[in-house]
Amino acid sequence: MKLIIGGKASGKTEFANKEYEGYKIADNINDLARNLFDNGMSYEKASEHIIKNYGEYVVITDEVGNGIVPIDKTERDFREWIGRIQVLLAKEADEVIRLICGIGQRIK
Amino acid sequence: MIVLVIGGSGSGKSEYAEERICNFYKNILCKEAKVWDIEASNIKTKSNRLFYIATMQSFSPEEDAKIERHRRLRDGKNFETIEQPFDLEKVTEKLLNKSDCILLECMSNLVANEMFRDGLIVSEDIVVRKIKEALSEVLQKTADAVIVTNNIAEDMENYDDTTNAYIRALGKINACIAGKADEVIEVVAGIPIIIKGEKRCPFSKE
Repeated sequence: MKLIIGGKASGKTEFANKEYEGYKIADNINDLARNLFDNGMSYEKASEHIIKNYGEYVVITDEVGNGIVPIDKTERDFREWIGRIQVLLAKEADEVIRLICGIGQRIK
Repeated sequence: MIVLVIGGSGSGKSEYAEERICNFYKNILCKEAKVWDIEASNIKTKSNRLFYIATMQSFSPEEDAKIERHRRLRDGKNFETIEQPFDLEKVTEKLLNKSDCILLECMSNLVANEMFRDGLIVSEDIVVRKIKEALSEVLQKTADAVIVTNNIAEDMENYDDTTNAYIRALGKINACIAGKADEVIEVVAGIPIIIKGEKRCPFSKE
């Protein structure tokens, strides 16, 4: 797995299309993860599920934990839950790229 | 050494910060005991201690669970915990000399606790000055310090004046610590990124 992580509109998709041409790309894994979260799945199980299904993909994920803690409990829980999934996906991935302002940094 | 560790929710910053301070502490013990590996020699010293300065207060089962999770994470790692939700300068009473290590977790809670204390709202400038002064006193008495903070300033919400004052206060304190720190590390998905310091990161979890 190649993991691409960064804030919204930081240039992740463009980066993936350009640098990983020919790879299968799973864009916006947060949407899929949100479904698993809404079904009450633990972050360990959800990351296993993503690794099983997208192990050979370039997986793109939004970094969402860098703001004020949300007042809404569900949003608060999801933010932390997805953060822990990203840690597990990064452990699994052989490459992790972090995007800021369209610039990718290989952090693993 | 002073290391500032910054990251978002669930980024893995605590685990990284613990690893760093434990390594600092181990190095001090080895030096004291004049051995290479402190675990093998099993030497304990009284003059070097490892403190965990906990700033989070609990008002709900959700916060209880967070605190419990952190306790489990640092179980068996020789930490002495000091609960210090405000008045950080009081920690100096417990620090004897420059041979102790501290892990402060985390600055975002300390700033919130100081700012919204006893049902009042303390001004941004007062909070910033108070914490800067306290921190400088504490850091003068420690050998190595790892300070955990949060990146809370990167969402798109329009907040009220008070929340904005909190965001600014934490931002100013973070910038001040980063200026003094030997290393500033941002943790993203459990991976340390060096913002300031040597191009080397002694994180050996794998």
